[in-house]
Amino acid sequence: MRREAEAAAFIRDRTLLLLGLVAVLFVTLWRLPALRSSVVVYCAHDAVFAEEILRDFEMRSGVKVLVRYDTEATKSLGLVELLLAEKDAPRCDVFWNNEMLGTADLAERGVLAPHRGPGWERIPEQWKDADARWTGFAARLRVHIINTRNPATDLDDLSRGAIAKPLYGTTLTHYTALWHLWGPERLKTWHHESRARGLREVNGNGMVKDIVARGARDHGFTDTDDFFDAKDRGALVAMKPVRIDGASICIPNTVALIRGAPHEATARQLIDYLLSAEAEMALAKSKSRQIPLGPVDENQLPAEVRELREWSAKCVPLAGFVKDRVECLAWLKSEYTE
Amino acid sequence: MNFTAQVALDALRCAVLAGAAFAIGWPLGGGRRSTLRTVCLIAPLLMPSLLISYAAAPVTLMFGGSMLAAFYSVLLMLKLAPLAALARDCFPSPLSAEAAFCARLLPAEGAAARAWFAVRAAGPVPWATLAVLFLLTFTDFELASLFAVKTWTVMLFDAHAGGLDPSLSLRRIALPVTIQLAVIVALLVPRWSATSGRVGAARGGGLHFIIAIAVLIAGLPLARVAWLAATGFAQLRVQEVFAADLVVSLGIAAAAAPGVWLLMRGRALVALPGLLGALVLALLVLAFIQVPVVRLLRDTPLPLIAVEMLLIAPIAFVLRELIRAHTPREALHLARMAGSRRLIWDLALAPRAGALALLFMLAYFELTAATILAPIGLTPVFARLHNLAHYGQSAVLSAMLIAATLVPAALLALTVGAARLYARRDD
Amino acid sequence: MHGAMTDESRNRGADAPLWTLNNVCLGPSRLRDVSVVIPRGVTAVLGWSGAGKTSLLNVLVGFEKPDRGIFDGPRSFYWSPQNDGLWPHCTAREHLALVRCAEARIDELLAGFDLTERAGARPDELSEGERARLSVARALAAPAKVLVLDEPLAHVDPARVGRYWSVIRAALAAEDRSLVFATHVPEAALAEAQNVVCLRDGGVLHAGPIAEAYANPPSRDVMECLGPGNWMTPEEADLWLDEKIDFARCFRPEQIEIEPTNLSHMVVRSANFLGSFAEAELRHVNAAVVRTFLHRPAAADLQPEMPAVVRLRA
Repeated sequence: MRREAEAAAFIRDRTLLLLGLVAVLFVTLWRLPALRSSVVVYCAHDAVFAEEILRDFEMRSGVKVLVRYDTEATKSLGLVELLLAEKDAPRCDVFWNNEMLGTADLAERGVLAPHRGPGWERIPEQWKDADARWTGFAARLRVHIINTRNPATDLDDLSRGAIAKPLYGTTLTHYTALWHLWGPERLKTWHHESRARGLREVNGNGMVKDIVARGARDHGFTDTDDFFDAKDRGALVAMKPVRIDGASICIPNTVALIRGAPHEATARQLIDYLLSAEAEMALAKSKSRQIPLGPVDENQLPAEVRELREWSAKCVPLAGFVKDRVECLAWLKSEYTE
Repeated sequence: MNFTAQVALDALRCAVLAGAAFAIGWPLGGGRRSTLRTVCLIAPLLMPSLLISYAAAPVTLMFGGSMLAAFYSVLLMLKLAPLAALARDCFPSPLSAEAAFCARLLPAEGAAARAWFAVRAAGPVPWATLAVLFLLTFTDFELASLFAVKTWTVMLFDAHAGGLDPSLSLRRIALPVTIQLAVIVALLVPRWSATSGRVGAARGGGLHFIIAIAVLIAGLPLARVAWLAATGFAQLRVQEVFAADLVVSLGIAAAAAPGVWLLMRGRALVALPGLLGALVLALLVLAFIQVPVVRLLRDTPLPLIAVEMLLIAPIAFVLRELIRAHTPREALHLARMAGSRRLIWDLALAPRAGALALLFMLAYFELTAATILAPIGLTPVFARLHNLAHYGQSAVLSAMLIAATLVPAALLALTVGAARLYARRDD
Repeated sequence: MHGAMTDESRNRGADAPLWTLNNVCLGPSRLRDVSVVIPRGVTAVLGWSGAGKTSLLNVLVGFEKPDRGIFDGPRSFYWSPQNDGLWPHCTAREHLALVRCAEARIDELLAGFDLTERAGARPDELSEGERARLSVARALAAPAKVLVLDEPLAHVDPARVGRYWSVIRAALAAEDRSLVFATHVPEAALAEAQNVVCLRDGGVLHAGPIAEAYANPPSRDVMECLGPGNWMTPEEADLWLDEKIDFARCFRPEQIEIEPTNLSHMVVRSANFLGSFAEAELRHVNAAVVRTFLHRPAAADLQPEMPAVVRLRA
């Protein structure tokens, strides 16, 4: 009888229920210590670079940082959706975006709160919101990545080029700049003509870099961090800044305080740290070679970053392009999804 | 091409793909069972899209446009083809070999009449398999996105760039959901004969094809990534964050798989929300958990577990129904009367364990909902890996991918193996 | 020619046998060097469970290919396999219609096998007995000159089996068809067949006319295959029957009579009534040996320790 009962119990759904509950409890309890943290960051910047900076902040301040990263597959869409959904009762304290116009859009939608700290003070006017709802730091440039194995590479030959889908990230910023400076009609014509001429459209800037590094295409539009990744891996590539009417496209990271942030004090502390010269210098010295926007010790900057800084001296004034981004994105969505 | 046209084109494309996957996989079913065969059949199905695209990068980078789309379609089709063989293994045809021979002895008829006879006689399992293959190809987002192939799922995702009102989201997915529903309803309408069949004499053929598919879809990507990871495993030991993410994903899948199995008991309607797809369902739940009282839930893994359950519910429904129809009730009753753990395992628990393992892996590998709904501090491991994959291949990332793929498989194998051992020590 | 049907079968004469098998082997021991000729008419394949009956029939119809050996057989036949071989998606009526049977004949067959009311049912809605009947009805409905039935009418109520056999008999007679059927019930074979193939452990024990095999089985095994009997050596016959026989032979129960008597060297040790015959254990007092006899009619008056004699019926 005992064996019979044992066998019956073995197959009951109760066992499964128990298993499920144990798993739920485990996962919940797993993060209890984390809930006692002091600041929550939604980070669209790549984890591989952001983690180092945030860990440094934790060590310096003793403040535990919880981060939610985005993914290549969901782009920054996930985090933006989350911030909008949580607008009335935010969980996030700090939004670290890897570009500027999306953050400025969130500011327009009332998701962000102002913070005028020492970090905000040290960043030049053109890279920050006048109302201090967001501040730019550590920028990247849009560049042509060029495979040097083919000395006859012609950047105008778009049939040998590649670009990321312009609905997201820095490629959207690139398009927005063109929208503003060229005007919608010229951009639309270029967009259609470039595809017709064989410009290969891929999933992200990382893929553009890989395609060019492997020689599948001669050149492509990407960001400086992707270029340096390819170069560091020994790929035969060179870069040239993308210029529109002589101005480069310099895209800073942005950091912002969330309106109604649950941990406002520590959030401000973190923002000030991210906007500090140390953090900018750390990102400049990282593999992504990001361009400090505030004053830093020039002598400590890697030579490559110094060159980038020169290129970014004359750049497109992105801060005023928020409306263009909305219009451009609406057009792109109609192109790609309707 | 507009969204509606893309949906129609994808429906057509996926019908062809599902048909091809079926045509390749179904004849491979019904073979002599062995561990090698089972592993080779399951491995391609559970191979994460990220790992496949990561390993296939040298190929995918070289080609674009229609070549890439064709490559994507072939990979997806081969990845899913073993499902048809598994379905045939698990749910043999109700038409016995003798009955099939009796049909061959019939007076000569046209090929069409013979084909129609075979189609009707085969029962619902081939159709259910075709339907599942269609649903899986039609709703694929991750592999299509990673390969930068234009599909309605990718278009739907793009439509959410910069935010999209939930009502517009729902309006947009009305057509694809209707197509999925139509496929499911079409399965339920005909009066099927009994689905139960006996396992006939195993035919040894097809194993080399099964191995070839497994090598192509699982073996080569794993080998390539393992090669890239050669120096990365040492650094993996210090990746505490990665280990924590892995545990989180395992925990969520371990909650979702048995959860959905229990939830599905007699509740077919639970399978419907999953048809909305991960993106829309996750965004709807995200909006829901902002409501004041429900808001308490958003710092728990419950919304994510609930959505994972709903997402795997359609597959759970199909699996549960098939297992129910094929459980030898009299034999099971006798086994229970005898209190034989071994018999109970063989007759009832082994198929259930297999189904739960499959659901576990599906929940574990799910990416979109996991990215959107994971509570802060709990990062599902594949969300992190997708993030890291941005910068391309590296030794550590390759090691992480291998670990993230093999650890749950190994855990499952150990768990199911231990349960089997316990059941078989029936003295 | 190995394991295949020869072309000779295409042009066989009216007197030619249905199947000729030479050294046919299947599996390691399912069929072992089977050489047999199956003539026209009705042939029963007899044997205990596991003797190889189904294997032999599977080879005859081509459902299984022999590993070795030569066989030759007809092209036109229909089969009722051991597991009925019914089509799960077809109703009983559709089963008969699919073999191109005329409507009137379908009704006749359904009525003959008591399936008229079940005409719209599918196999999973039929009982085992109904399925067995439908399988046989389908074979009869098929326009084949030879029928191969594996354990026909298994699971059918014994009381009705006879009636269904009469339907089969009529169908065979009406169209001059032949039948090969497997059974482990000797009575069915004796009642329906003209020829028998006795199998044991995958080999042929005996093949030939069934009446002769029943009356004079060449061995004890063949005797047992065809039903109860008493196998006697000349010495045993001399001792127990007081009869002289030249070689060991079989005496069927109906040939043996055991009579109580006042004076005998034999006494009854036990007696059991077994329905159509009886079993009695006798002890020979002088020889101090014991032997069991199967006899008919069953004499109810045999009691233990009763003196008795064994007589052969005329």
